[in-house]
Amino acid sequence: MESSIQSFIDMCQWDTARFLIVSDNVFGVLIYYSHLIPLLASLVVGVFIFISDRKSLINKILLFILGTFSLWVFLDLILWANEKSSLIMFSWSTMILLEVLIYGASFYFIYVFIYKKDLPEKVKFLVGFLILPVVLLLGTKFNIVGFDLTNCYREVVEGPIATFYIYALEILAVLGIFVLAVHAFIKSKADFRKQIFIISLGIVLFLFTFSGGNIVGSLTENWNLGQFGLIGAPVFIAFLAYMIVRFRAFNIKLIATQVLVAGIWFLLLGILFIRTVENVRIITALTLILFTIIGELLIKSVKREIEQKEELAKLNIELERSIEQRESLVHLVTHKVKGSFTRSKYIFAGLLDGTFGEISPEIKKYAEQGLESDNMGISTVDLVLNADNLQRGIIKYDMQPTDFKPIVQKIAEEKKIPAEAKGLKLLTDIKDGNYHILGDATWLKEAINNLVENSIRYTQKGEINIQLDDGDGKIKFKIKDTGMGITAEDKKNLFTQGGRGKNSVKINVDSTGYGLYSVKLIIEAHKGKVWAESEGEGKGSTFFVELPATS
Amino acid sequence: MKFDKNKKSKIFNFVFFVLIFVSIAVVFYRYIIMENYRIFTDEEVFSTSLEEY
Repeated sequence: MESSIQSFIDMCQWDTARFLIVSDNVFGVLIYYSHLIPLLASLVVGVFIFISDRKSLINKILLFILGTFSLWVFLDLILWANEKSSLIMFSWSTMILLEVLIYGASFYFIYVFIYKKDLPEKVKFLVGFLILPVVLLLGTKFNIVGFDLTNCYREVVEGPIATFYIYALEILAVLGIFVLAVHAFIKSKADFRKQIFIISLGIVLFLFTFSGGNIVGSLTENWNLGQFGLIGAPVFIAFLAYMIVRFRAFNIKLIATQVLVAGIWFLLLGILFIRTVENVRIITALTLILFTIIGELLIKSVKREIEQKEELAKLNIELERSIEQRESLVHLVTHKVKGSFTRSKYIFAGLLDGTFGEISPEIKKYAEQGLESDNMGISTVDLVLNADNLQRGIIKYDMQPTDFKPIVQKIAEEKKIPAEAKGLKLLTDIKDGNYHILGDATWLKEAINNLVENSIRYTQKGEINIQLDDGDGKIKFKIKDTGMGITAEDKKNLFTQGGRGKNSVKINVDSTGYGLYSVKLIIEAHKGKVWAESEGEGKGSTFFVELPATS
Repeated sequence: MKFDKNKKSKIFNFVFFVLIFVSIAVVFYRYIIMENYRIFTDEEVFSTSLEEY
């Protein structure tokens, strides 16, 4: 075998390949240009998409397609460059399998893209079953019969698997993709239709040009034409890039500018792979045209982004102005309102304490109601003002070493009477422990006060349990009631500015939605956390506060 | 033994990839290591061999 090959090497004047793919045997002038650009682009894009979301099935499939394609292209370059028959036999055989895998994976890719789920088991087995003959017969004469040394073209003699079976599978795969795409297109909504169209067209163009070149090569033995089939890959990549920029496909965020710059980079890189000076002019002219188009798109894209940024900046300024105006209005209104309530409160107080003389029991009753209403109004205004000031960061906390235990004890004592007046039991369970904290006692008292008042307000019967404990360097406060509970929907609005539950408004029409919001701001300013749990409507609630203890 | 869908899929993928790997390894062994393949140096032998199919 060796002597016959050696005599042919001598006769055909084959050059020994360097690094497997570099040699003068490559007589197609654009072989390196048409191979290396698709190879590099596929590899880079495949890896980039995979890294962006490694867990996504579709990203994995795309990496498989583009990675397998890159390997196919590399092996094809080996075929072009090498004189060693063993290497050519191995590369050619392996490429047969890789081609079929690319088509099978492309069908898989389109299915997962359209239906957002894995291929059904039966279909997977069917695809695997169809590919199995290629896998099992890869190293046999049914795939590659032998090496053709009757001429200097360094080709193999293909068997029925390589000549007919794989092309039948490839045509079947393309048909399958076409059917899937058309079926999904008809059934989908307008916005998804565009995506289906773009991705299906991209992949069909890629596969069509890929197989077209190979089929022509196999049947006519003119492999020069086959090289141009690889142009489908950069086209497919361009479609993928469009999908990513326009629709955030494959869970990737990219702007048009990044994609266009990458495109220009690859175009310029390609010029390095042109072998002859004559062809440099043609390719440079082509590159210039593409560069002009891409450059135009790039300028438009950058312009658009600048315009959007400027508009965003304008909106930001308007928003800030609007917020400032709103805040001044809130302060103005609340101060005016508070002023009105306060004046009215003094009038009612004056009536009750006899400043304006004796009053009848009936008038006394109305005066008491008026005073209570004014007190509630002032308290509401204070709550809203405090929450606003807390949110804006105007409040300056006076952080001092504080003992949290007496704060809780005092509030529990103060609230016992109003709770019992409502027919509720207020129980406390305060364990011994380290409750020292670096905090503002006034605001901490305000927070706990809000929580306890909340529980009293929303509990019609039963009891309220206040617990205080320490552990793991934390102070743990818990208040549990047998009140109206919190629904899952209302839970979302808890601790939010102005958030009120539907049921809470029924029980307390004066609910402002600022009480718990203030609690959250105060506790978080003390590096703690607050949350609530409830089994649902009518099943009571438990509010938890955790604060870091100091030694 | 009952397998859930996810496990079945993983087993299928594993077996499939192992088969591919083994297939390529066989081809590598046959052509690169053993250099066990037919060489057609004569036009007549070439066409006769094809007719054997």
